[in-house]
Amino acid sequence: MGKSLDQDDIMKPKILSPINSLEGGKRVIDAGADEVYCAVQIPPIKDFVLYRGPSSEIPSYGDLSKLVKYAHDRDIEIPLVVNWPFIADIIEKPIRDHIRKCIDSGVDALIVGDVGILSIIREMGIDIPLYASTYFMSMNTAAVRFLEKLGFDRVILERHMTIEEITKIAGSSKAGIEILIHGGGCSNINGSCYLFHYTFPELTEAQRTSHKSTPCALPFNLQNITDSSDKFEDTTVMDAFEYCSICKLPELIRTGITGFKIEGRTGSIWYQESTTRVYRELIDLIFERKMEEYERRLEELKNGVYFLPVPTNFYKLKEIWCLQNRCYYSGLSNTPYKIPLSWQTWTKQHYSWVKV
Amino acid sequence: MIPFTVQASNLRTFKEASKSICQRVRFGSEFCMYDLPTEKTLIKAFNIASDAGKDFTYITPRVSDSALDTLVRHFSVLNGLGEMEVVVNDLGVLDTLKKFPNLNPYLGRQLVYIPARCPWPQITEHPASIFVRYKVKQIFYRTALNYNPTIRFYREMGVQAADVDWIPQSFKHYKELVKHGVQLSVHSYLIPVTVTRRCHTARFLQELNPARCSRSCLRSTFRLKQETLGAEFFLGGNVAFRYTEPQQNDLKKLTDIGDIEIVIPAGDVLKAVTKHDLEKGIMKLRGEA
Repeated sequence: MGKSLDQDDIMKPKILSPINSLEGGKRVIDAGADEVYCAVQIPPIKDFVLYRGPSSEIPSYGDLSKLVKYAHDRDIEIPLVVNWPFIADIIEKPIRDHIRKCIDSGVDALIVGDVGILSIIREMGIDIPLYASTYFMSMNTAAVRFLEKLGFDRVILERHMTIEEITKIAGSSKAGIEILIHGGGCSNINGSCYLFHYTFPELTEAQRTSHKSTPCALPFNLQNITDSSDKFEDTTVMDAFEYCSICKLPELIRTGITGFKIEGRTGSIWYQESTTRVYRELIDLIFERKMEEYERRLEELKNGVYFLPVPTNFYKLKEIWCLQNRCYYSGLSNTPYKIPLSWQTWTKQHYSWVKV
Repeated sequence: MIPFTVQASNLRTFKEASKSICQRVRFGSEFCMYDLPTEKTLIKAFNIASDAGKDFTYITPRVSDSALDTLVRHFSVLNGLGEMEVVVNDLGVLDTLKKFPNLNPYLGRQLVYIPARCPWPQITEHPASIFVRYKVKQIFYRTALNYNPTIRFYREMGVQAADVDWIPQSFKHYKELVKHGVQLSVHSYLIPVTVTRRCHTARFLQELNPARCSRSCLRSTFRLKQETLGAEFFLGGNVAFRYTEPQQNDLKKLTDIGDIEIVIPAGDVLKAVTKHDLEKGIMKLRGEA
């Protein structure tokens, strides 16, 4: 921290990496993460799934404690995700017990997404930094100021924002501002999306036949309700997934944000580690003002097949992301994605630079 | 008799709504910050409602800073016109509204989380044991406001009312809210299952810039079908809705709850754009058609 960019006082943003296992935690820390965020399964309510399934969570408190020790030995912080968008009386006790156990495990901060859960934390008298999740859907300075007043130390902004909007917010906030930069960026606004990913037979079948991983990415048949001849088949009309920000890093750093958050708690360890490693390298190059080397690495990355979390038949990065505008901070009005992709098996020989 | 409110996002349908037998009218954009009315249109809408003797409610979406500036100007104007309700879908807007004493905040649908908006309730059938399944269903149909500290929090923000959806399995939880003094507006027919800022309609119709969007959503609403999944939605601008047909026996249950109004969306999806269409819809719901 504390290095400057272009002679001004822009701080080096932290890299926050996602994990869902102890092994993943160790790997992302070794790959250069500044912080590691994770959730832990809550046994009594693990069957109640909002949005994501239990695969996004560390399976036990024991693993959490081991992770915290491994991280703290290396001066790395572990913010814990308790960002349910929702709380009800009948799940209050398990949530309370869960928060207590996680605090006892030594986590460094809590990521919260609901005012009800915030009230539980306050009522429990827990004095720990609080980060406002994307479930608060913060898109303007007034929302961020309001969350500051509620006691949040950091605010994670909604994904669908422009660089200009982020700059304005970061420039006027006391709280740290984090943005998402990589991974399965939601097509929709997280806190207002009810297309839960938790699987059931018909969804599994739809995903299998379309080779798509999330409900919003599925192909739909469209028909204009005022003109029945105006119809389109098999259109991925809701698929606005962002994926990558490697080209936008210098601009994003200049916004003054404090953290870059990589998405992918459900991703493989390989994805979590390799993505962290790539962003670590690029951000370090920028702050060392090695811009030519940064540009060279960008080209290498775009011509390679690096850090894709799902199997691929070796499409180059620029073919699968750049051409389809799967860029986190490109314009808000991307055209629909029309390049058919067939995801096939990949081989680790193409990722030889990743420690396996 | 349970009051009916018609919600319209353009002046043409708003005029029709104001002439209809509904008790209240709502005007504005619930989901799209690029579809905010001009100040002139807003005042016109307010005057139309006043002339028709209807209570006026202004409905607002989630916004970025530029649109928040516009909303602040709108609030200044409306605050000078007397006491009225404003539906808010953004925490920043909610906090901003405190500066305008004549404007009473209603919590919008995007600030009231209800898991049962999910179009696939079969996820509640997933757990293996009957007991867990029962518990999951218990949670699925609640709202984020069915938790006392959450209600307290919003009360302290001046909120007395909230928007929810026509989900009959949730009605018993709505009843608890009304008992706690929260007035409810129940949206009928269209339940928002997902909202985006990367507007799916604008992208599909190749609008190049959201700020200069031609608002093609006013002309084109699409029916979306996912054959394998058996899912059907309506894509209206940046929102995908699922359709739910209100039943009269459910209306009876809502009537019994108390402090509730029914919101009817004016627009192409329901073919409810004229006074006649809207009145037909209201009378059908009342069982008078």
